[in-house]
Amino acid sequence: MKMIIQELEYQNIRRIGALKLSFIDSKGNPIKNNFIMMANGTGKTTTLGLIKSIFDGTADHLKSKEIESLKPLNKNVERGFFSITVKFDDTIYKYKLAFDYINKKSTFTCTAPSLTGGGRELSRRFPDSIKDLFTQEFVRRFVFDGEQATKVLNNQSNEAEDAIKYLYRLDEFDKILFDNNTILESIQNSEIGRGTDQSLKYTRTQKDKLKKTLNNLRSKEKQLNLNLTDLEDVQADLDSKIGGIEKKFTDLNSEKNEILSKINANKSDIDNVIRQIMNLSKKPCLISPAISANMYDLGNHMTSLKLPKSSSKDFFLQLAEQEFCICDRRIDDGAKKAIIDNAGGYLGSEQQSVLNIIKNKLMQSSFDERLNDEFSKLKKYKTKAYKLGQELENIQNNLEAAGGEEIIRAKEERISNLEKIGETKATIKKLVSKDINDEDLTPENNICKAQKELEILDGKIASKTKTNTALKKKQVMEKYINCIKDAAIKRLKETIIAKTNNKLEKVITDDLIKIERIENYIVLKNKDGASEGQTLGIAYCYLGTMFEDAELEFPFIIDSPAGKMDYTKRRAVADIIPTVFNQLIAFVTSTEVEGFANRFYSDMNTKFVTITATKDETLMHEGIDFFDKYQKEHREEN
Amino acid sequence: MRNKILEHVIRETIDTFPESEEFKQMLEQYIQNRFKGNVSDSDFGFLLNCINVTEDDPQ
Repeated sequence: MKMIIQELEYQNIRRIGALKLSFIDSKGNPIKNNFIMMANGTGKTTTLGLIKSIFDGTADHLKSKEIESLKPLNKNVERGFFSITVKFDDTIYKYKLAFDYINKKSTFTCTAPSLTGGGRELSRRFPDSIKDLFTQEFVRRFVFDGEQATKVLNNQSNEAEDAIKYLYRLDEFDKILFDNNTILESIQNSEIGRGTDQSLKYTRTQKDKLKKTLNNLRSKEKQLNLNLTDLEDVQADLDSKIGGIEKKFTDLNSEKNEILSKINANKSDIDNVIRQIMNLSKKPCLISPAISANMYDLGNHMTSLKLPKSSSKDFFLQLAEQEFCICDRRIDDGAKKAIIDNAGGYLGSEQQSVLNIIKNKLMQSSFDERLNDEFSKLKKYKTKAYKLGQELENIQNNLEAAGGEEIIRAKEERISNLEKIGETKATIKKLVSKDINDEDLTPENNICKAQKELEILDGKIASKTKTNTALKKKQVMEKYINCIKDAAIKRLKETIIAKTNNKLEKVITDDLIKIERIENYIVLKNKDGASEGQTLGIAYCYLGTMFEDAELEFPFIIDSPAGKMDYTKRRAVADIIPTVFNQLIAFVTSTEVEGFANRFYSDMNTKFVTITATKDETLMHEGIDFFDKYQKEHREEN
Repeated sequence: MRNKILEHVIRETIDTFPESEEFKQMLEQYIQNRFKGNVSDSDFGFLLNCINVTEDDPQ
């Protein structure tokens, strides 16, 4: 069975007024690779959600809140719809989900030539051979996102094993086992006339009761597995949220550190400039032109002192020989003696030289802008310090907002969610345990024990109704089917591991990544985990192998296929995808073009569509040119 | 069934069963058809009847 998506059509869905995305060429042939780049907020996630809900049946019971969220905000419209046209081999099915925004209701219709009532039915219909296939579990394997991809390596998840089960339809063996049981019961019921005694009635009542218990246990297991999937989704959301906050936190921290280092550098600049100011302040002439002028005058004045060349002692000795002092008083003998005695106590040649230096300095003192320049620098640095201080304050506020209560709350939620996952897993483990020696397990809380008990009761009933032969045949068939199922799972795992490892060699060339075994999740050889990019690479190789070998040829509809893969891995994955998927419909962001979508530029069987939005409308642009131009202009935004 | 591995492993496993060649072929065919959604309830009933067991129900 080959399934091809031919068209998606929107009317009045969020920001989209009317839009048709066709995945067939003018001759009606399917286009193998389709890249749709939707501008932020134009409805990429909504589209993926609607596709999933139509295929897995959840569209049948959309909540009024979900319908309300699809209503365009800027338009007063009453109705809208989303439809998918699918070709199964040669038959076209159209699934339409119509929305009544007034009454917040949705209506699902399916149109196909083979259907009754003029080919239109108000329910989800698929070709008979795959009608039971479209469960939530199955659909999420071909309507895919990066989050789902990471689960294959998550030891909290059964994704790797479940993917095998659902893509290879191994659950069909469980259905055979169910039919096997039903047939025996029907034989035994038809033989009821053969045994009407009280003990048979009692055994039948016991069996009915036990069957009810077993059904409840199975329903419980199914529900718990669904709960577990939901809890794992919540966990992935929380991890992503915490990761986002922590990333923001890290960014803010690095910004803070950057500011702190700027503050330190600025402080050092301020210290240097103050030191420089202190040095320059030793030259008062630099303080102002007036001081400089006064100093020059002083120096100039000092030249008129006309001090003797040799020393001031000589001056006083010469003076003592004079009749009159320089103050015009007569120098008598007493004065003469006093001058000669004290001549040495006044300025000597050393002092003279100092005076001369001062004089010279004063004479050379001239104003320039050096000190003012330093003060200007200081002012600039002070302003910078103020701004940096404000930036630091802002960043600290942001840090509190980013890493404060929100992250604490998210982490608390994560712990609580992890506990719930643990409890759910423990309950599932108890339900499905095959440890017959575990005394805590009873037919009331364990599927295996209930089955064993049921077998005993079956034996009793068979004996009383003389249907031992039918029971034996049922048991033989059960043994055969289980044997085939186990062998199929084992062989499929071995083959998938070998093929995936071959692909991994081409995709991850910078590290030795090999799958060792599949044990609910993928266990890597000699590695505890892989980087985000590696995980995506492993997931595609794994899923690619399964799609390649699966019985059904399905389209692969994916949101953000390249994610955080580096360019080398992107290129390798881009080369592998066309060989393993029947049809690729990839909703990409502008950052995923380089090294991924642009690998398909020369491929003739590839379509490129860009959806842009203005305030009032959404526009569709087909072709590589716009696609490439748009991604170059907008990749920074993402 | 398009998957060759699954086809092969089913055939290989059925071959080990202590049944007649005819039954083995019927079982394999039934499973193939089952995967194609091309079987009826009576097909399975017929297959069950073909299993050879000791008749020990007292008449």
